[in-house]
Amino acid sequence: MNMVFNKLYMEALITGTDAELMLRVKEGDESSFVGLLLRYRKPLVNYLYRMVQNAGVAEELAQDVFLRVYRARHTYEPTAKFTTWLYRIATHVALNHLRDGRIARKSDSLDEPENATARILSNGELSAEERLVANDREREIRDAIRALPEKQKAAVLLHKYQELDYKQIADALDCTESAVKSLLFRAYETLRVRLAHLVGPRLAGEGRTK
Amino acid sequence: MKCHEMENYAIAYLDEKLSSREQAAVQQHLERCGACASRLKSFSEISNMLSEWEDIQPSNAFHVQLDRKILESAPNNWWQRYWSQIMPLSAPGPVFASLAVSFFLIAVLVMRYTPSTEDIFTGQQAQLSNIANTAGVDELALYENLSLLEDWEVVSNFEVLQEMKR
Repeated sequence: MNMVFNKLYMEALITGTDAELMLRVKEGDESSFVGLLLRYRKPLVNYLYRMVQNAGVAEELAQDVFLRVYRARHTYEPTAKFTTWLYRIATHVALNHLRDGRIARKSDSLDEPENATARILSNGELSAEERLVANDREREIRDAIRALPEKQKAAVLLHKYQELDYKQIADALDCTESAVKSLLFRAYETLRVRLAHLVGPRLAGEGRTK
Repeated sequence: MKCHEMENYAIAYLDEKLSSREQAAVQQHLERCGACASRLKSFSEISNMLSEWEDIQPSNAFHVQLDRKILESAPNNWWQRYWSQIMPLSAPGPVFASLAVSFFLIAVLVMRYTPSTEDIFTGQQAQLSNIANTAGVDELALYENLSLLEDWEVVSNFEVLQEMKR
């Protein structure tokens, strides 16, 4: 199958909406599944990484999500947006993981996600002191998000990093749009208090403004 | 607009997702309410700060691992294919489990109450050996007590036999 992946890699760069690709997967076209994989692998891994705050676990969970999508291909109906369906499954998988307490066994790696540290330490534009400060800031941001209630955390991540609209977030979290706005308001209110001491000029360049 | 109503409009206001009428209403409230204006300014700053948490790159092994999971989950085993052929309609879990348990119980009951000839033979042997063991005597003593050998003293001292031994 890995050979198939390599062979189909170029074919995967096909056009079409997510729903069209998924319908082709339903008809047995594996290259369309690889196409979906290439589109959503990185955003899904990053969503799950921020949910569970462990890169290795996030990859495993993302694979589980894609496996569920693949296994559900025969029953797929394009009634909802594919992304909503995908993040709905991902949220379910992540919350189950967190509730199972499996995160406790991986707690050693929680404080220092290897990729984040490597990225900050390898940033040649910053001095050693600035790198340490940036590292601390990111850790505080991670800790503040980790401390949020599960649904608020999912809402913030889907809104801020995955850029889903309120309707999509509501569908993924199984609540109303009004509830999503409320979840976001309360989450930002908590983050505002917890991260107040960090508000000020940033070290690195400007990020997204959303 | 009142302060408590901001919960439903604050984020959408920052995202510029409100209608022009709602946007104007929020704007008007912010001009009059310093606390709400300060809160929204903080929200915006926090949102910018969250951007400092950058994305990670999935590992190169991602596809290979997913590939393996898909293969493991597929019914590629001969018994799975065979099973799907003889049982194309999969029974719901509880129904299948009930049938399996019932079959197992019936099988156990049938085996339990149908003793084979071998069981009878070995059962008798065990019974005899139990008698011998519980009586605390050896086999010789047992034979001496049998009816055919009850006159063992007479037979062992029989003169003809004594002669034959010589």
